[in-house]
Amino acid sequence: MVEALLEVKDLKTHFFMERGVLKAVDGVSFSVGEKETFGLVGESGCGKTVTSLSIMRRVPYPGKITGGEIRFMGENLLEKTDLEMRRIRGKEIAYIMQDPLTALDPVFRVGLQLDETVTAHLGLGSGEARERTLSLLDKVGIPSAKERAKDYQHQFSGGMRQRIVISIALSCNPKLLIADEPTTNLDVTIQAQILGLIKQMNTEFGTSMILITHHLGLVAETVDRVGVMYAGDLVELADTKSLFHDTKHPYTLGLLKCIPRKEYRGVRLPTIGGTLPNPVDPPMGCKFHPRCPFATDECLREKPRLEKVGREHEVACHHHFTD
Amino acid sequence: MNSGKRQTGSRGLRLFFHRLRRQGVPYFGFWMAVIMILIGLAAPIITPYDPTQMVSNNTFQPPSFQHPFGTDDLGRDVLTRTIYGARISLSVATIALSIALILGVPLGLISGYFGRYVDAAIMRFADILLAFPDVLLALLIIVIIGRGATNVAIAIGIAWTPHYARLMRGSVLTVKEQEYVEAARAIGQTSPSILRRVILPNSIAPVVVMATMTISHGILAEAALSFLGLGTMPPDPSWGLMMNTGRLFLRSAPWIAIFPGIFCAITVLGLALFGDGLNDVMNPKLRREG
Amino acid sequence: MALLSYLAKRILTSVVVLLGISVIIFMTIHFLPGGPVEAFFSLTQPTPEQVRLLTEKYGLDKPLFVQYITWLGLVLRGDFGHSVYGPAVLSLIAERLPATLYLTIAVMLVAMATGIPLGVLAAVKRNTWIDRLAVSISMLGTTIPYFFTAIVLILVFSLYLDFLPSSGYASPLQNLSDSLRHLILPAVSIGILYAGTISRITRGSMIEVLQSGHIEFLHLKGLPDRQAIFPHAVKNAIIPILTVIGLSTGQLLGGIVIIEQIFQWPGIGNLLLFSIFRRDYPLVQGVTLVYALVFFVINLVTDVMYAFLNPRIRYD
Repeated sequence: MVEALLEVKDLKTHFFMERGVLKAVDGVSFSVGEKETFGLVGESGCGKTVTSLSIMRRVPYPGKITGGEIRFMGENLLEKTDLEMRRIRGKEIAYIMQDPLTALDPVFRVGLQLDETVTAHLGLGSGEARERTLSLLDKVGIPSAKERAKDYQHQFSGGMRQRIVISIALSCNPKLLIADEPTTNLDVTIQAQILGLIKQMNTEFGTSMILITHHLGLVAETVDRVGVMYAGDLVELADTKSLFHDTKHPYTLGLLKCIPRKEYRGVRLPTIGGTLPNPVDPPMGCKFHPRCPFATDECLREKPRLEKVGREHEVACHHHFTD
Repeated sequence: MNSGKRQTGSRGLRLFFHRLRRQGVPYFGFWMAVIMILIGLAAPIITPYDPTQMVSNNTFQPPSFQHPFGTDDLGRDVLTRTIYGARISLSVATIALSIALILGVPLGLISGYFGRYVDAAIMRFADILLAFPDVLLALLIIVIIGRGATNVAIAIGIAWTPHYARLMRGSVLTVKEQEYVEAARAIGQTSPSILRRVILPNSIAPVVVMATMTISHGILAEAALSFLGLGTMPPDPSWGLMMNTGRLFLRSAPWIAIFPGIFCAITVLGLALFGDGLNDVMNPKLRREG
Repeated sequence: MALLSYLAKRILTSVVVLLGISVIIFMTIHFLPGGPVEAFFSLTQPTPEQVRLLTEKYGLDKPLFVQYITWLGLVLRGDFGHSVYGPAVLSLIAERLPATLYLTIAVMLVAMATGIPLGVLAAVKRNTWIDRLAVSISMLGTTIPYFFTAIVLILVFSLYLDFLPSSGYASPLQNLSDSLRHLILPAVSIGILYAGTISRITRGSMIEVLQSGHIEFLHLKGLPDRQAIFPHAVKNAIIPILTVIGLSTGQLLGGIVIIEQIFQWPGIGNLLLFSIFRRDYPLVQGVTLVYALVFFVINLVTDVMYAFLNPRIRYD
């Protein structure tokens, strides 16, 4: 079988802090194929961002990648030198941050911020770089690109800013795009637009994507496959259809039930009882068991591993649903 | 800026000290400053000599067992004078601070709360005062009202007033928007009452931090102005005055200038260290990441 | 251009402040016991003829407001009156101003050359002993009174080592090395103070910038450190640093009075003190006016520079 574009195998990233070791990513495995969109879903603090930063090898202090493999285009990223990684970042694997306001430099004109990416990775001269910049800005829907490229980041609306960030990310035709909650900070009305834009760009450039979000509903329309994370573990991995219609993990089911829909009108929104486990001192066995309505002794004793339950479906649960 | 409601009373004080202690260096600075204050207060008790007593055959004695800091050009004991100097410096600084607070805080409060014309007028006036460098403004005031330690205190106090007005106004502007202010208005509290009981306690934090700065600047300014001969008049022992006199005899009797200078530096340093830590204590949100 | 309109706006609002300054300075003479006549003739008893001339020139028999306008008119035309000793105030000031500017520039150069590298070092080596040492040094710089530093430096370098002169001034145009020898002690005494301030701001600014989202984004874009990340970091970090340099220069005008006194430096600070002690009130008034104006200009330049560097201010 041909190796996928990105294969994450048993990734472990720990944060070494005063109060203990925080196991932000505790043995996560998944893969992303060419031209595929993968959704990484979970609550805040479940480790999805750290996973993506691990792939980029930009885990902030005091974190360290402590185990596993990240194979990109057949090579293990964890074995690469800093220089090699730098060449990969922005060029082969691109990243979109959550907040475009922090991503863009407020004292530089936006056009320059695009130019510099293209110049650094593709070695283009300033004239060619600017040409490419303008056509990219145009592509992402910035009107009057030529004039607007001379503007500063605060002169654009939130949605426009994110478009600029997207154009920067895709400027060098990366094979993989990691988008960390790209629409969370935007107005609801703009969210769909931006997401649509990202999808459109991906299709056009043939880019694979990891879309990170806490919003399952967002994922339904946009991704091919989904991974659900909880407290540093991947608990369910499936293609989108199976995840929604043939849910196997209790946590995923809980998440699905929480999505507001018109049937809930006038009724209290369901929630998952309890709170996230202490990341430095997680529960024994299955990390979800204290909140799980189906938990048994076995769940307390032994941590479930991901096992295949369908063609494209894996789940980590002793009592996963069957039908 | 502290936008949550403050702890008040003895519980607040204990919390304050607990947080300060965790800071380490600023805690040390706090005690440095306190020791200086205590030394100054206890001056008459702990000093062996009279600070102004001149002994004509005992001039320019180098430091010895009888006179640990030596004697000056008029035979006076430098140690005694240095310790009394702490009194003068601290009292001038405290008076200056009081003036600046009494004038500046209410102005800032009114300016920030009522806004519009009142605000514009007060701020314009503050701008004009701030258009002079501090030292120059103090000098100008001294020219008008004359020299002397108390006049120095007044001059410094007036020079600092616009800074407090500005700071207080900024703080009030933030606090004004908080929900608990709206709540107070909703239950029918009158403006003066709201100002006094709600806005003032919650916007005072930055003022407290600035106060430590003012005291150390006050000490420096008193020393500077006395150094120039425009402040404390002889024979009173101001550190600045002693340093100026000592300057003339620097080669033959450096101790006259050095010791007051060291004491001055230590006091200011202690206050500065404390002031730094104070900022972190009053605004725990701004704690630095490791 | 947006910058020019900002400048224009700024100058316009400053007019009020400038007028306010002039009013205060004008009023100083009138608050003195004895009033303006006493102030202008503090040395000798004026003749009736002299009093009449003075009254005519400054409109002393007219209402206060008219007097102010008269005075302001004279000032704007460059007539700052005469010192009680005779010479025109303006010429006395003009004579001494270059020396003060020379010293001011030297002080700021010392402060920047020491403060900025120290701050950068502390930021880059954050939380190591180098950082703590640098912060302690800058702390000492800002708290030790500069006149004390001056005294200690004189003691060591002038009296014990006999290396540098303890006072005096030599023009750089006549003898550069001698001029520099006289410049070092005064410049360093107060330069240390501002070096401390600048280094603290530099450190804080650098740390904040290095941790900021946009710098991280640059890393995520895979850009090389020197060509790309460095210019971004510097341009962001430099804004507060330049601002504090501007503000420090303004504050320096105050401290320089004392430094000029200690080192017998023939500048306008020394002139101010001289005039105060000699009760030469016309001179006091004139020097204060010039001082306030210089301070005002420095602050204006700082504001404009800030607007130039920070696009958010410009385009509002």
